[in-house]
Order: sequence, then C-alpha cells, then structure tokens
Amino acid sequence: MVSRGSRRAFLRTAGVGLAGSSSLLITACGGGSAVTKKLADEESITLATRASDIEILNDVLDLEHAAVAAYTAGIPLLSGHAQDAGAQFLGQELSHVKALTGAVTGAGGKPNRPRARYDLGNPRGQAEVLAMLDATEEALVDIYLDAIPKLSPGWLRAAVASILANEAQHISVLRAARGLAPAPSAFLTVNE
Amino acid sequence: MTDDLAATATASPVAAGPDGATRRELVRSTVAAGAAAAVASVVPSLGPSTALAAPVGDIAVLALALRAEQVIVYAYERVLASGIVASPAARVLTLFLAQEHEHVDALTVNLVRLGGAVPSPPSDLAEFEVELRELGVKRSPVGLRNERESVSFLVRLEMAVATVYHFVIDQLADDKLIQTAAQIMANEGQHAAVLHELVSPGNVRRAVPSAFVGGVK
Repeated sequence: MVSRGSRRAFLRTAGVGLAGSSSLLITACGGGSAVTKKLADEESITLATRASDIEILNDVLDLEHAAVAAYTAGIPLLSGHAQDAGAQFLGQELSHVKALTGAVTGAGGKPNRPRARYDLGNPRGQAEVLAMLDATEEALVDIYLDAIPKLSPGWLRAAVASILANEAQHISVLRAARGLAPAPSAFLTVNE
Repeated sequence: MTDDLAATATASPVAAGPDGATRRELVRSTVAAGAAAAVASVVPSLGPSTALAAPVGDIAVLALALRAEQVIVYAYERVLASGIVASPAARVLTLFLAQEHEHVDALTVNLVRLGGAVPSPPSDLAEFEVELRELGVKRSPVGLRNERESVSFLVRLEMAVATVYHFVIDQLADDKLIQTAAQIMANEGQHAAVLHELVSPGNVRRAVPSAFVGGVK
C-alpha cells in the first residue's frame, strides 16, 4: 500500500485533507464506490515508484528542516513586522515538515531527521538575516520545482505544489522587506 | 517554456478542447472538487466511469487553466479600467495583469502545440460573472465601491485560480507542463499575498494565512 497511508498522513497535516479529496470523488460520481476505486488505483503504484517518492520527499524534508533552523536562528535578530513575518513563516515551515514527515512515513519510508547543526553563515543585523532567509526560501523553491514533476501520484504533486506556493509567498514578503520587487516574474524561478 | 510538447499531442486521450457550452460546467466542477468527472464528461473518449482511473488529458486540463487565466485577466482589466484603484496599488495591479497575460500566452502556446482548441475569453460582463460564480467567487465586480473592495475581490479570485492549478497539477501528465503549472500557481500565490498587503499593510497573518495554498479545504 503506497499512497493510501501517505496520502492520509500528508493531507491530514496539510489541511487539504483526504476528507476533501474523498468528497471530491463522491461529488464527482455520487457515491463511495468511486473512493474505493481511486484508492484501488493508488494500490497499483509500483514499489519502485514508492521508493523514488520517498527519496524525493526526504530530499525536500532535509531542506525544510534547514529552513526551520534558519528561521529559528534568525527571528531573534529581526524586529517589528519582519519578526512577525518570521514567526509566521516558521510556523508554516513546521507545518511543511509535519506534512512531509507524514507522507514519508505513510509511504513506508523513514523520514529524515534534522541535522545536529546547520551552517547558516554569520548574518549580522536584520538585512543580513532577511537575505539569509530569502536564500533559504529560494533553495526550497528550487528543490520543489525539481521535485514536483517527479512525484508519482497526482494528488501528491498537487499537495507539494501547495507548499511551493506558500514558499513563494514567503519570498514575496521577504523581498518586500528587503526593498525588492515582491513578485518580479510571472513564472516563479530560483533566479528571482 | 517547452519546445517539444507537440510530440506528446498524439499521446493525449483528448482530441480537441471542450466546446463553449461545457465551459461553465468545467469551471464549476473544478471548484466544486468534482472536476475530474466533469472534464471527462465533455471529452468523448473518456466516460465518467473511466475518469477516476485515467488522467483527463493534458489538453482538457490546459484548457481549464487557460479559462481561469482569461477570467482573471478580465477581472484585472475591469478593476483597472474602473479608475477606483489609484497608485501605488494601480501599479501593482498593472504588473500583475501583465503577468497574467504571460500565463495566458504560455498556456495558449502549449495548448496549440498539443492540438487543442483555444477557448474564448469572457465576451461580456454577464459571461464573466457566470464564470466568477463557477470559480466560487460570489462577489461581482459590479458595485465595488473603493480600492479596498476592489483589491479584496482580486485576492479572492487569485486564490480561486490557485485552487484550479491545484487540480491542474494533479491531473497533468507531461512533466514540463506540470513544472510550468507549478511556477504559475506559485506566482498566483504571490499575487494573493502582495494584494493582501495592499489591503492590510503589515498584517502578515492575513497576507500569508496558510502553509498550504490552493488546496481543496
């Protein structure tokens, strides 16, 4: 069983829940039999696919752990609106970690743990911390854009894309705080 | 954008984009989270019973995304033309309208390469309002009284379009199209955050309220 468990675990914590998706299918065809059929389809995902998804999810989980470390270290050096934003975004990164951890576990994998320490450089003052956080978010966007097409079940791609879009929002706020254009490109890239 | 998508056209189960009569049905169904069956219902090669097992086809899914983009372009144009929104907000809206046009262009190019029919944008206010309701946006642009209401209206529409992309990314088969859709979805999320900031400056909890953007709640 690949996706049932991972899907439930991921979407439960993501708030884009299985309940929502189940009702999607029930709405679509008027009954629970469609849900059963959908889940049966997911059963057919191969073991190779599962291993690939677990590896990909663990890769992004590693960077999410790094983002949590970056915000945790950076927030005390921020003030005012920037500090409020940092606290809000830290909470959201923790939600991403929880969701991804659930997905890996649900797929039968072992979720990567945070490292004992991260090299965050030596940012001094708000401007340097914001730049460090922006760089961290851009690294996240980079790995998400690479990962999303490689994930197998469509629902998992979509759920991970919902995280990507949130990281993009973080970038907009951080860029605005740095005096930069918050959304300079119609197609989010890491080179913004 | 991709240059080699034409090669995937023959692999698509959809021979042509859905006709105009099914457009409202498509968008409504997407937002109501019944989109897979709805798209299949307008694609002759896929019956409702198979919709849940098979991808609905990149052509139909791209057409759905394009329609959502056409609606949001119409919305930005209407709000800007009303003169209600002044600078600096008007400059932001003008930039975002240009970005929405870029999304339309990219989706159109890919849809045409796949052999799909390009849907017509809303032709008048009445059609636009129907499309809005089907995207789940109940507020009409008619009667927007000030800048705050106008920008809030666009925020709601941006989030509705992000939800469409959530479905689109779920359904697309082509890797490059998936990545492009993800890039666009992320940009729509940025638009919503920046527009929120215009309405409630400094309130990041409103600007970026959720760790997950565009999912069916």
